[in-house]
Amino acid sequence: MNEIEKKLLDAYVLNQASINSRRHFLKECTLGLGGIALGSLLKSCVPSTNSSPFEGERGLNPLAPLAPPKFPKVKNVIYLHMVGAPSQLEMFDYKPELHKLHDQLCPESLLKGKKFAFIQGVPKMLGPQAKFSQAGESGNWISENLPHFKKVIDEVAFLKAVNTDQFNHGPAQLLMHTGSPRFGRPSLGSWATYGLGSENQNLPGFVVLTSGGTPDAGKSVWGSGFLPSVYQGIQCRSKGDPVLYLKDPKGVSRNLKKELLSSINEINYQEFKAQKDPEILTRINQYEMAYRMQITVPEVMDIQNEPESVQKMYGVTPGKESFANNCLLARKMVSSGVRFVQLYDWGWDSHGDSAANAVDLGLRNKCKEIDRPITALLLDLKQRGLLDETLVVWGAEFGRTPMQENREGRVMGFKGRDHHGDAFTMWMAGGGIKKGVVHGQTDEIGYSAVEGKVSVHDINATILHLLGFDHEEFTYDFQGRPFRLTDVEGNVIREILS
Amino acid sequence: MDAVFTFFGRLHPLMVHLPIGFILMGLLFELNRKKLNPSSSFLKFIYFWATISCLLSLGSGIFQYLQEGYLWDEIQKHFYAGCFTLFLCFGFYLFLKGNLFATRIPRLFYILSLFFSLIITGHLGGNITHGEDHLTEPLLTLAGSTNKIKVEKMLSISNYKDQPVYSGLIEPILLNKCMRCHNPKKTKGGLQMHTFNALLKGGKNGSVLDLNSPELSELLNRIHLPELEKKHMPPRAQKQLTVAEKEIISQWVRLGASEFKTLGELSFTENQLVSFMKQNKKEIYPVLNIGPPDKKVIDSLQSLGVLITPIKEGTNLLFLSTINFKAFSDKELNVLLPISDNIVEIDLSESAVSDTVFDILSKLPNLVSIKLNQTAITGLGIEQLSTLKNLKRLHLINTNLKAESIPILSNFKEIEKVYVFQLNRDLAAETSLHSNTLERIDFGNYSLEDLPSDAIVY
Repeated sequence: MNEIEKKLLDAYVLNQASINSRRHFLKECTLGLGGIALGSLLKSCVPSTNSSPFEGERGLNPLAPLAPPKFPKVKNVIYLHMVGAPSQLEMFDYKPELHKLHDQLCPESLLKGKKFAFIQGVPKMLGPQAKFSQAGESGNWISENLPHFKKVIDEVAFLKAVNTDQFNHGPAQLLMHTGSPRFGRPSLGSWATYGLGSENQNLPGFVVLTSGGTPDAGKSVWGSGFLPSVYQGIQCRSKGDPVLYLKDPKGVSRNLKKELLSSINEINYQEFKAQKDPEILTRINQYEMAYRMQITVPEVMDIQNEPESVQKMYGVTPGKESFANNCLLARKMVSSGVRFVQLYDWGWDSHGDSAANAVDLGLRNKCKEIDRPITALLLDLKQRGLLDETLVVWGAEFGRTPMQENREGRVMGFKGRDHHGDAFTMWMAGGGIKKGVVHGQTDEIGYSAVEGKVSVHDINATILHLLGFDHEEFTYDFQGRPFRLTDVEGNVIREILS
Repeated sequence: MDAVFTFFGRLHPLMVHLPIGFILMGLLFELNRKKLNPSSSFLKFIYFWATISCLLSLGSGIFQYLQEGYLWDEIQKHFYAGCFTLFLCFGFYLFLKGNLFATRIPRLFYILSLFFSLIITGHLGGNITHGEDHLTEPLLTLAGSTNKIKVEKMLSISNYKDQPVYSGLIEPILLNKCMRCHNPKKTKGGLQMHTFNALLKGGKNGSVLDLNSPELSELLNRIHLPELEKKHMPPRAQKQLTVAEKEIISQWVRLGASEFKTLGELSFTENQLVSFMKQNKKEIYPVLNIGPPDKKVIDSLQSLGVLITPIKEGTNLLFLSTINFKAFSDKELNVLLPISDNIVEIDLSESAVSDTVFDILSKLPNLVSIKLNQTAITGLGIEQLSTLKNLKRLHLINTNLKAESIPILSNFKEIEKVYVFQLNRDLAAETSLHSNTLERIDFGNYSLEDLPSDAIVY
């Protein structure tokens, strides 16, 4: 036993002694004795023959893989979130009528009873700032801002009338990823890893990659809420160390660290046996995972080792932080058995307050940043046989208005659009998804849904369905009641399922 | 006077049981004639009253037909059968009396004819009151042939939008849940529901569909009343409408209750219709009752670090992956044989297996998916996999796969997709294949050409 271990053990004994107070004794005795009596009573009622060889793995490893309740259509999810909300009217939702209304005052009837983040008074309509054409065998419409995407347009199913009731970034992002606009709920990726565990024991089950910045709602969008924190998303950086504080400290060898960790974990496990607090298991698991990750994460996160043809296809810039890098990383993660990869790309809030936020300037550059990588990602997943078992989701927290933003009632310097949640576009591709379909339709100006309106909960219900869950039965007991990702709502969008 | 006729007519269901009783009693005596030796006058007494009650039944039946609006087509068989029974009863009475004419026919003829005629008349009558399939329906369910449900499940995902709502959905629902009491034969509350026009015509309280203000339609009122209400339809004792059915009826009525508008036109969604859709999807996993896997084998594999887990809760179909134990080699392959039936998906990517793997894999009969990406396999012996009747997907990416293996793979009948993308060589160029098999074999090597717009910065 070395010096450090001794000290830790001493501290542990001292800690234990302080716990064994009089109150603790009473609690232990009453509950303990009662428990023993009850246990022996109940045993006679419960059949003891139930011994599946797969039971009990979660006891020690909260990330042990579990089988879903239904046959799953996909094993992994790659969720691409465009933080700030891109304009559907310059990307996927073709509205020629809006052209004709360009620069006309918005009719009162459209504004009545509506709340906008910035629009005040009566704004002017803003025609589409991009040309559209039909592409693929499906003949679905797509804007000139996404020329590469035409190549894979037949792979995706569009949802053209997604609806959210939140019109500010933070709450809308929370709603999209946790099913509630307020803090405290577990994110979609957490639910997935809680329900399915992780196949690769050397990598986290839920990885988050960001480019450009952290979403407005902060890290709560990939938080674990009331689920044990082992299920939260782990953010990997594409610049510098992939995971912070993973490297061995100076002067500490990998072997020494291994010994240190195993004795800490032993002590923690004793503590877990006494307290039964799942957070202790989380801690043990994270120490072990961190140790294993020291080797595998740098390996997976290294895109320079990828063949040049692949690097070129995605358009990566190694050593920098970029969405293209993250797309390639997402593919690498998924092929290494990471369950849920969440990409956030910052910079889509096209209000028209600057050139970078103009729908005819900055937005086009943003489209360029994602067009090639996303197309490459879908093609690469396809040629590696992964698109059959991976779900790719593209979306944002909401969409944008067909009106030009007139912040504080004045004319803006650039063409921009305000936040708009009534109807916006998302798409899905991959396992279990019908190829080349469009579900949902907006009115002539892309303002409201006229057909096939789907909610945020519908989308989450569909994703859970594809992973093999019934969203109404997938619950976690907290504060005295079962909680669901979809709260009390949500219908699986069967129209886009194959 | 009219009321008296109606009253007399309504006594028919009661009246008919009298001749049934008398005739059955007579027939029973006939069966035991030797033992009981009933006197001729006793038998004459029975058949006299049987004849009288037959007459009364026939009379009340005629009044019921006249007063209650039955169609002649529906009751004529029952009527003729009843007349025939009366005729036989009277005939046998005369026979017993020794009538010369009647005694020319043998006694046995009377007895058998009476027996069958009674059953047929009674059955036809019952069909009128209870519906034609009242008696046989439970038997059909027993035999698993549920004709009606087939009508409901006519919708298919591809063409549901072109189906008229009324004939495609509403009619089958009404047929299942309402028409038992509201049909031309049995018309409770004067309402028939077997055609669209009958719905419009309505019952005693007028039309059940209000085309001017559809929300106020009686049909909607009745189905949405609380179940305990007397006016709730279908009545509490009957099979109730499901939530989905109520929703569909409501949407159809609210949008104008049109006879010909299609599901697409009235924007019904697939979600609403899912319980009415044909379920003809083939499961990709073999539906086999496979016993639980050997726990010892599972334990030994798990202790090696092999990932092995059921593909869904409560099934014995297993997924095996060596993702956490890449040293898995040919040696360990034999361990899989005791659980060979259970494994349906296997991922040996990046493991140390060689071409020997095909021999073992061909002994896992239920395999649906095989992954051998980034292994040293060359494809030698891959033809052995042709014995796997369930194999749908085969992943052989970045291996030493020889081009000769490709034509062998294209001969596998059941296989849906083979992934043979090789990063550093063009396998497609090395192989020559018929274009019709190319669809199933994915050579990958996709690339994105540069576009002139790529260089523009706005």
